[in-house]
Amino acid sequence: MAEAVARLLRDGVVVGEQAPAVMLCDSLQTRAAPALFTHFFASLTSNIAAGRAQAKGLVVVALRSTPESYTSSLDTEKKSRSSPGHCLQLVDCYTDPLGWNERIQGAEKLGEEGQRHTELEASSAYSTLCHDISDLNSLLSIVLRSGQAAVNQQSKAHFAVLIDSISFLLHYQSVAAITNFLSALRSHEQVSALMWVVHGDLHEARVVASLEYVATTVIHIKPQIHLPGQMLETQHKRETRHYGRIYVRQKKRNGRVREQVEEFQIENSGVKFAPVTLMTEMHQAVSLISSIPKVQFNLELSDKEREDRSKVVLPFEHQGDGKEVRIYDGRPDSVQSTFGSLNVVNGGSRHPEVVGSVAHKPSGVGEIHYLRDSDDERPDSDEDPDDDLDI
Amino acid sequence: MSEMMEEILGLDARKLLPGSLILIEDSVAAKGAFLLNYFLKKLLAAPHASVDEAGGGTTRVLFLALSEPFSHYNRISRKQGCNLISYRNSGQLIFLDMVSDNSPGSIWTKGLKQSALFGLYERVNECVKRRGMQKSGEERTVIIIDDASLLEVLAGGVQNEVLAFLHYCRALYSGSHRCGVVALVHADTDSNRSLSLPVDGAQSPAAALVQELEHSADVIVTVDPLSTGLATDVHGQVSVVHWTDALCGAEFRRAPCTLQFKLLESSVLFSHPGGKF
Repeated sequence: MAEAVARLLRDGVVVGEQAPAVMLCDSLQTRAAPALFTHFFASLTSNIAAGRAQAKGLVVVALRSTPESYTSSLDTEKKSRSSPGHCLQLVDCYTDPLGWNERIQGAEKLGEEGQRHTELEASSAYSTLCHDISDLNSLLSIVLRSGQAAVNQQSKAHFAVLIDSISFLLHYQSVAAITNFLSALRSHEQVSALMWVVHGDLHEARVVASLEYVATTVIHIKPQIHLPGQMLETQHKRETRHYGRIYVRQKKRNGRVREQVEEFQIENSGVKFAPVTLMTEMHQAVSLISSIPKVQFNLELSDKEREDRSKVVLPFEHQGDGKEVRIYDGRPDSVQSTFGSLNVVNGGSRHPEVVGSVAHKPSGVGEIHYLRDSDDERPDSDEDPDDDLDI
Repeated sequence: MSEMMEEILGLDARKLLPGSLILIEDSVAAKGAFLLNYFLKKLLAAPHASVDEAGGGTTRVLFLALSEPFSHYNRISRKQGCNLISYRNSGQLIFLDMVSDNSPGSIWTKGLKQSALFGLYERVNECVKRRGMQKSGEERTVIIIDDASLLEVLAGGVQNEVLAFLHYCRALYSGSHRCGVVALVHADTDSNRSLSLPVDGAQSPAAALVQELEHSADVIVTVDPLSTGLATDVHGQVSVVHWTDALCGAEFRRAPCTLQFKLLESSVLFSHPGGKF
């Protein structure tokens, strides 16, 4: 799903439509939005460098992180491959967002210190300093100017705009002004894609919702769902902060809204995405973990042990000796019956030859001969056999 | 101080990322001010041991004291074998004492002026820049703020001012590096914090200062009373969460860790939960 978002940023705007806008929304539970932002930033810069993206330039409005953090990642990128240098432009709202430094320098009338400071600013050639973020019109014009610089003043080329924290702007601006600002960026003909970060728990729900209306894709970052048994496993890893789920809600042009869920994991090399672990798999894992207590000896069976166990004949299974077990119920048997063939009648034991033939069985084996009183009595009948007993 | 704390915090003045924010959150039941002394001593004293190493250089500390005067910190540090006066004389420690500053032009008597914190920032900026000019630009500055919650009082309750002030402290250049900031805040003075923290965050009417700061902090050190109740020989617990790699480097991310502590007359003892001091 994250790939789809990266593709969305890469492919950019369709003629006659507003630019796609991606909103990243996180909370204190994960605080993963900056990491994801860096992920998409990196994928977009590599796409631009390779010429795959619609945008030819990139403007990053640095409000939350230092501008250096973006240029340094670009520098490492540069070492690995030769990329066109000017495609990244920074709008530095970090160093002096409210114009305090400017006020101090103005008071000092640009003394020695001030000169040094401007040197520092000039040393980062790709960044423009914004001294007043409370003036969104000037910020907008700075962003657009930087965009022009990013695409080498070509009036037809597109550029993407990334804003690393709208929450910071919301301290000084009303929601209406911000949404206005974002819409103005989206509808600008040269903007190919727009992405911003908002910290959802710092603002009222309605603020987040109204920002969501401006966005075409919203990525809600939520902590990983833990089942009781799974908790053990993750505690074992002890890295719960770097795991989570993203709920990607995409609004299609035809009005269809699709929400998809994906898991992510922040590693040293970057962010990795994976499909959500199914609940059934989770349950299996839970039952496996929870049903076996932790003891020093082995409670599990190996395959061979399990096979051996299935071969063991239990005591009550000896009786048949492989043959079918028949229980005589007193009725003549359709199959061969010892008593039937011997023509045993009541008191039949008086016939010595019959006894003899029975006694031919191997010695040492006792037998019980039970002869029923009459055949009209059903076996196991409910009536009391001692009913007619006369004492 | 115990090595255990150093181990889980991983504080190394030379490797401290420029512009990082270390947030110490305490509460009424367990004060976190002792950690400020820990940071003060660690930052001032550490580079001396490794002066000849590459990237050595001293770390300057600008201490912005709003709740306790210099004499208080000096007394405690002396017991821990750290003479603040000599550091102050050498210029490595700049102590902005806002508590005993009762002159007519002081920050408190100016009262609830709208940009009170701009005035304070002017002073901080001046101190950092003046010192930075004297020496080579390679040294780093860490600004320690004793009680950022008092900054809110100073700003007349305007939370944005406080956030802007702290932001400016982080963005401030000292030499070629931005300043690091260590700030103490009270986690329980915010009204909507003491209620149950909303799970879905977004419902809270206005975010508290602590919440805002937590979003931008690199490392959060929380000082709490003992979770299992009061005990005579354990005074509380400290938990450290590394949100970014500001302190411990990217090669291994540290897991959140909790230690219990016991405050003694001249030092602090740390132990793992349930362990011996």
